[in-house]
Amino acid sequence: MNNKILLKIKNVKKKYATQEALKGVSLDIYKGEILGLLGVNGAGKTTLSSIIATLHPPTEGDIEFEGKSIYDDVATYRFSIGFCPQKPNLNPMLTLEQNLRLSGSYYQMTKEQIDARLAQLVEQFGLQKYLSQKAQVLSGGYKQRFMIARALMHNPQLVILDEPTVGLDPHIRRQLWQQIRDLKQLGVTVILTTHYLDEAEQLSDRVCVLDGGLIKLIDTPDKLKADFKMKNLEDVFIALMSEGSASSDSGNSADNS
Amino acid sequence: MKTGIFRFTDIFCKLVATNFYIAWQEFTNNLINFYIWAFCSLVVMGYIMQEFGLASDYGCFQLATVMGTIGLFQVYGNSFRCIVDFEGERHISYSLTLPVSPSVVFWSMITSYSLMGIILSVLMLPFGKLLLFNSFSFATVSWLKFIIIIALANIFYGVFTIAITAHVGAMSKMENVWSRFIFPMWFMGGFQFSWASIYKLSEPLAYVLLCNPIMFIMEGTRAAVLGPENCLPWGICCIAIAGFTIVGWLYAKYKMRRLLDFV
Amino acid sequence: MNSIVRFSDIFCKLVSTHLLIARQHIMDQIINLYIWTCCTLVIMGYIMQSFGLVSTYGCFQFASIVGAVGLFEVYNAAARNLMDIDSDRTISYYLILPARSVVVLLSMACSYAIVGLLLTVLVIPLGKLIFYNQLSLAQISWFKFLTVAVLANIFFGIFVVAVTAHVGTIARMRNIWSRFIWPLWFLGCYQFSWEAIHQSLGSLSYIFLINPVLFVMEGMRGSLLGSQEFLPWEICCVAICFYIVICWQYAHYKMKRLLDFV
Repeated sequence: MNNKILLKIKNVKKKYATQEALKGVSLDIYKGEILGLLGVNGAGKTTLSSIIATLHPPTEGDIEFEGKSIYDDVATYRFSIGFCPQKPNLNPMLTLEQNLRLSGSYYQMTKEQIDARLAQLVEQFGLQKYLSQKAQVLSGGYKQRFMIARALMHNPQLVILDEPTVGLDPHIRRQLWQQIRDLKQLGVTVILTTHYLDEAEQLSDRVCVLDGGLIKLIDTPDKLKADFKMKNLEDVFIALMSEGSASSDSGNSADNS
Repeated sequence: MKTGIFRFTDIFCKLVATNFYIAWQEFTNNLINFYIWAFCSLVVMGYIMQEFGLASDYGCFQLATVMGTIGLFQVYGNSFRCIVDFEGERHISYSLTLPVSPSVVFWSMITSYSLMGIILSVLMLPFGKLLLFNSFSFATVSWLKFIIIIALANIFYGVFTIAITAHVGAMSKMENVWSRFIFPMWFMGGFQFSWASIYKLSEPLAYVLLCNPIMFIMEGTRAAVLGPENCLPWGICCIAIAGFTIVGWLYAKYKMRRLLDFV
Repeated sequence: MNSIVRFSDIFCKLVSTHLLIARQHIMDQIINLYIWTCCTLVIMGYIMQSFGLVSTYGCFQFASIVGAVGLFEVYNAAARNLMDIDSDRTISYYLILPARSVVVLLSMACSYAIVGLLLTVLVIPLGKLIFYNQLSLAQISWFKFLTVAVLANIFFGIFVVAVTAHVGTIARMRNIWSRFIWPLWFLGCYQFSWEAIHQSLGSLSYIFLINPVLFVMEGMRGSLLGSQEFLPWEICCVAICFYIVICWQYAHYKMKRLLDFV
């Protein structure tokens, strides 16, 4: 794992009318790593990933990308990121090829660049068969692949995947895991929000556990297992949550997705 | 345990009560919406359009047709909700597994739609009187004929709702159904003119328009509210509406079976 | 690439995308529009005369319909937006593109305006066909007509965004149509002129001047029918521009609250 900091999240808070989804999250994300964001429902994972993706603004705090605040020039920052939300939001009125080509054009790619990148992604994700179809006909697994492909179309440095394997068949999940590992090989930094602890354990260089809008801990899976003397990350997580509910009276803030 | 017809009747009444209870939660909203629509229509047609030569008593004419139209506007909203359910959670699937025939389920829906339509239509009358005051007299209203025609009309609209739902089948086709089918039926069905006026203009067209059930509803409502002059005979209107209801039901049942594939 | 150039480029591409999608149901929209127009014009132009309506009313109604086309599309477009917001949220993708969020909203409004303008223009030949001898194309001031049509459809395009933002969810859409859009349309001089209402209601008629649709109708009639009976065309244009600005401010403010974008 590279020691160069790509993204610095500084005391980010997010308050909604009735609740506080994030209460002050500070975190460094290193170039080329896969960071797993874990937490129970309502912990703030999706809120944090949406804020990093600049889908929503924070109430307080800042995010620095390569040393500069992203809010100084949000549009330029967006060239460097790709976001794959939890629920597929491909345009259902366009074919999948159109979705991908238009994505490239929005990010100022030339036609030649789009053609080359499209061919590369189609091969990488096995999408050839469905290029001329519209999104409605696809199974969940293929929709997710297209979503990830679209997020990667413009060669971003950072990709945010919000629960990419939820609701998918086990073998499809494994295929997507391999594709996420391949991203790391290509030097792409990945923020992976997930409920699946086996997934976090398999894929993440580090895991960050959120609870009630705050970071509970952040470390490598191996170190966490060693510290807690548990065989797997799931047991670590359960132990962590048990500690949390024993010492705290208040419930978690709801995740705003 | 109740058997046969008693059980069906019992379940039918409970389904009607359930559907009506659900519809009742939207009653005030619907009433406000219809009052706003009626207000705009009657004020424009009853007071402003006279500047363009429209007859001074046209407001009363329009009131009668407004009352006949309420149920038709409910058709769109109700079938929209049905289709949303069919494409989403499919609550109807539960009703179709109850110990009754599917026809009972559909007739319970039709009955609840009809009841709501009747209430809304009748409530338009005092509102119309308030707006048109001296122009409109309750003395011209034949109450028995009015209640019968409104009941028949709204039963037809209830059946029509099921038929439309079954025919359309999907949300994506709903907009076209309103624009190409329901709207022309309504607007060319004597909403703003009488059959007599179209007969004077073009006899063939007038007879073609008799294929439109809305025409009989409008004419029958006008005959009941304003008196029989210049309207189709009220009795014929009732018979025609009943006939269209039967045809509509047969079609609705056939198409629903194809759409939902029930037992 | 310079920011403004980049934003313009993305704006144009977004408009192209929206139009590409709109093209898929443009034929349906044209057919629906023609059916509605036909029914209305036949009744108002030929049948209602037996109830005393003036013989030239058909042309009057035609001009109103030309002005109202964009407004009818508001409901359908806003409903589609709301269904998207309630489900897939494809708009979320556009909001993280490397452009300001304002560019995304403006691209939506612009695409609605273009479609509305196309439909507006297409009604004219149909009207001529139905009122062959009554409606003279020679009396149309094409410059004035195009100006009002463009302004009106820009207003309606922004109005779509405003309605979407105001309503927020598809469940509330029906009330908005019944209680807001429909009265705006029907009491916006769709079937009568401001002069007529001024004759009927006197000073109360000035309240109707709050309604932006009134200026669209009067401006359209003034340019198509070449008559002095309507509000001055210039005043209508200025008023529509004013309402465009107000509506945009509101739309942007409400959209930001609804979608909480950066």
